[in-house]
Amino acid sequence: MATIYIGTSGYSYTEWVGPVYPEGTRSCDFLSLYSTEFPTVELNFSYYRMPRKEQLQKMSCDVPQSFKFSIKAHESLTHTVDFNLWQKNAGQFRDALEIPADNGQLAAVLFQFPYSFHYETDRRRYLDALLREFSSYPLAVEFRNSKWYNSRTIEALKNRDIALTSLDLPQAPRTPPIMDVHTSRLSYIRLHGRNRENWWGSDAANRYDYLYSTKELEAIASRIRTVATYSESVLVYFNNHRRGQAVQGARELGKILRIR
Amino acid sequence: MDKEGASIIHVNITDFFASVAIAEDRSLQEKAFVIAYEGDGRSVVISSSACARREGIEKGMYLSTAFRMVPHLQVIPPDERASFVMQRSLYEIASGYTPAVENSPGGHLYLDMDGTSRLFGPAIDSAVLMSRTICERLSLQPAVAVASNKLVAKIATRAIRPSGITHIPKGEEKDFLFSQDISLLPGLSYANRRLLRVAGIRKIGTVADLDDQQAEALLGKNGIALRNSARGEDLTPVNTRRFEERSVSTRIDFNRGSQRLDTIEAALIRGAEDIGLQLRKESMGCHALAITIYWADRKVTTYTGRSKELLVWDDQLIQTLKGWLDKALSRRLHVIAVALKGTQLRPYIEETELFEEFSVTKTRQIQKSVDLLRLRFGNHLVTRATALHHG
Repeated sequence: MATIYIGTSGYSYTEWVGPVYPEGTRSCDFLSLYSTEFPTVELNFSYYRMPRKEQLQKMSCDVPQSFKFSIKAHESLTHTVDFNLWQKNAGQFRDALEIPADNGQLAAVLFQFPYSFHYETDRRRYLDALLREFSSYPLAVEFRNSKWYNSRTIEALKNRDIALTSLDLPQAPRTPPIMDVHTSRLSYIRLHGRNRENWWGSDAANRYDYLYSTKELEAIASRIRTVATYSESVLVYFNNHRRGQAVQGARELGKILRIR
Repeated sequence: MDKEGASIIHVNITDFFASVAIAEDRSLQEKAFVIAYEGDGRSVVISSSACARREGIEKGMYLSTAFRMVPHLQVIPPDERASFVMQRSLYEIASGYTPAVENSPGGHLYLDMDGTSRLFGPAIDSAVLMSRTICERLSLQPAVAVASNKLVAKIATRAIRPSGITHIPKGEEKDFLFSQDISLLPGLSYANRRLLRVAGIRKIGTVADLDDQQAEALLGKNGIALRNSARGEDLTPVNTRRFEERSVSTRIDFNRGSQRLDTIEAALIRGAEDIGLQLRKESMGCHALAITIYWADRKVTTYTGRSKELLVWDDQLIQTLKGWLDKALSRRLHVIAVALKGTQLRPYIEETELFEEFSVTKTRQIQKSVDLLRLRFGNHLVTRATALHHG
């Protein structure tokens, strides 16, 4: 049976002061407070700004040794790829990963590709090269374009021991399939909420404004239990961060699964 | 169909007979074994374990070839009883989520979840819970897919097998199918698969892009239907009748009443061919047959017999019916029509996929070729000479 880690996508939200962190908490204390309750976090600042070694060194010191980081790849590697420069960006990103990896705190590197990342030959070659660059780390990929969800992709990920990210999201048009398949020793689950009305045409804050009901979390817990039967570790992240609802979900799911 | 989204669930137990064997005996989990009837030099693999698959052994392969690849291969005969019980258990679990369950042989179920969201939430949540229950209660690892119709759900379970869960949102069918391997498309004959390979077509999306003329030119008369399947078009409803409730039937009327045994036997043969084809289309056999005689004086008598053997093939059906005809012909009057009805249907274990290249005996091979012609050009295109007698 796998070890299941539950956390949230990001931890540094000022609107969490009150609902999650005590009033008056300074932003520099968010992570250490967060780590008292959750064993893992998915860092998403690394998508917007190229992470630096010192930043991750500091974060590593703020949390217990057993704490696990999943780090979302920088946008220059997934969304705004310059095919001439990507290797340089990959090098910078890889450098930053050294500290958590050496400390045994790197749970996974997440590559999340947008809808515009089509299933085409040049993209497939790029993906192959990119994943080779990071092959020494535990990896997970998330696709937003449905064409990637095919038997060849599944087979290729299996051969490389890379997790195909399992998603939970609303049943809205142009959303990718939900797919829980065994491609790696690691399983990676991202819960985006089910806010169907605001999924398209609104900002990220509204899109992820959703509180999972107990019934929905029980179904998600069943998914996790099944996934855990064939994985060594399962990482679960709530991305419905608005007003701390991700934390509420993570707490309740932990209770349902009877884990911290 | 659920207005909210995809509502058809397909449950697929990959390599059903091998999975049942493992569920019955956990020590087989890590062993290379196949399900097959041993003894005949031309026996083929009915189902293989994951270990055997890793060694390259596939369903439909000659057993002798499999042995050459894995000399220590274990051969287990199919356990029809255990398979039937397991199929029934699957059906019972699924029935807890919706009354609309189609029980298909070989570890397949289709569920129509339309209207169940108030009770169980979205169909994907029911699929997850059901998959978990199957895993816990039956020790089977299913591949489960939720989609807007049976066809897309079936392709989705094939894409993720041997196990897993997937949900194809309504409206995403075309994109999802686009890059799937062509071999996942149901209904594609071996010949067509080979033809597409030669033409360099590997993705379902390429077939979906063919226009009517191109589809027919490339894939023959079924080309347009196959192209439509590649587009994810399927209006087939979930057939909720249980095996036990299903039946196959036919009726042969005489132009003039007849008392001649050879004429009545010819009608019986024609009828046996009809119900045989119906059964094989569904991968079913029957244990009971009813012969109804319509007499010239408007009276009707029925004789029902039961066979221990599962009746699937025309020769079996004809032999059995001929044996019972004496009992059915209880009066000395002209007969104006004969009706046949097959009941007590059960799934039969196909040694290899229907209409595929391998077969066990020459008779079966001929039978499959004849079936293919009948399905394509009509039931009575090819028939036994003796069946032409009834006028």
